[in-house]
Amino acid sequence: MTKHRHRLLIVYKQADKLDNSIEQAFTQMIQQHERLVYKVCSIYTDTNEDSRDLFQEIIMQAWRSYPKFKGEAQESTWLYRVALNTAINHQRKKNRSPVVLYPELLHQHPEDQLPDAYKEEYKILQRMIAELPRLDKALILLYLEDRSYNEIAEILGISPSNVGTKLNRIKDRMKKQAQPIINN
Amino acid sequence: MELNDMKDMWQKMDDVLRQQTMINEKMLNYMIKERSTKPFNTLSNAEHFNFISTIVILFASLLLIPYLGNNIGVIICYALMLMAMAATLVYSYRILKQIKKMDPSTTPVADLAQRTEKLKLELNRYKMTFLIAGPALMFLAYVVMFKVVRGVNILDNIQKYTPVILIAIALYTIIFLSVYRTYYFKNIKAIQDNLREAEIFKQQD
Repeated sequence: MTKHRHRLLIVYKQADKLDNSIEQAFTQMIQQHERLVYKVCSIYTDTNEDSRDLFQEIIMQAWRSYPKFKGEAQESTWLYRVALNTAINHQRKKNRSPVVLYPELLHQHPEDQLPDAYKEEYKILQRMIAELPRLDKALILLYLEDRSYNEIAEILGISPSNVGTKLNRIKDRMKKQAQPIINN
Repeated sequence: MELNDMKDMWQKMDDVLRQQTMINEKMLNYMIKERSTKPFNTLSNAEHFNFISTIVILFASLLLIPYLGNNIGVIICYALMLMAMAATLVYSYRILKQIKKMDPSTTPVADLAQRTEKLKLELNRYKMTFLIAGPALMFLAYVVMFKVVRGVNILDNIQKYTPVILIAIALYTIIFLSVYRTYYFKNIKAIQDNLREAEIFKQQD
């Protein structure tokens, strides 16, 4: 083996190691925050197939953007931004047969595991969120996830005071929406 | 139901999710290795296709030069055709540059939603302009191709070819109107609504 080829081989091996470590870090991050991705998918889609499609799209988009992630923001803040941006621009492929990769993915129904007393209320909550406009959905999701106003503002690109005002408005709207459902 | 009650409910769901693993390492590795090579950004893919196909057509059109002859009318038609293609290429390049700047990992959600809708609106307007200019472009292509394929300059005998040209334009108009309806009612209107939503959302209360 010539000296040049030997050097090249070392560079390749180092690059391969680097690739593996990036892949490992990414896998760990996703596994740590998969609930976040699941929740984004659940509020932006209405069928299982579409939800699975969006889940994969978010993972792929995050993987593509991951090399640019330098850790300036928290991992979860970064992933919320990627997931919400992907979900808002996700177009349902109505006439496309769903890609069946790992059918078990998202075929579980976590809401079935909720205690009976909460199942009905959770359904009402889902219905109310489903009726909100796309960006309001993102705002309410981040609020329910207990994110600070500053973090919500950073993810969405509005001021923290605007977050508070909008939340109050959504709160009133959802209260009105919930009343007839609860009465029934 | 108050927002705080909703928060409690959401937390209950979070507890359930915490106990379940949706995705295992095997699935993740498969997704990032196998699927990341497949196209998924439709806006970007469509524009890349537009850009590349325009380059191919432009180069193919350059091969026609030796067959054009000396007639000034045919040469002007050919030059206008090339100019339309060059304009498409420049426009397409600009759109691609804008798409590249739209990074979902760095752009705030409301900003990206607004930019995406603006871009979609611009793309639709461009398509409409292209459709409106269609009959004129068809006429130019008709003059050039007749000269290249049959060696006939239809500008010399325009009365003879007028019925054929008119029929072609009438057919084109029918197709154009159906495409316009689809674009306007199903696409442009939805994009405008989304854009309005993003603008209202970004407004300081």
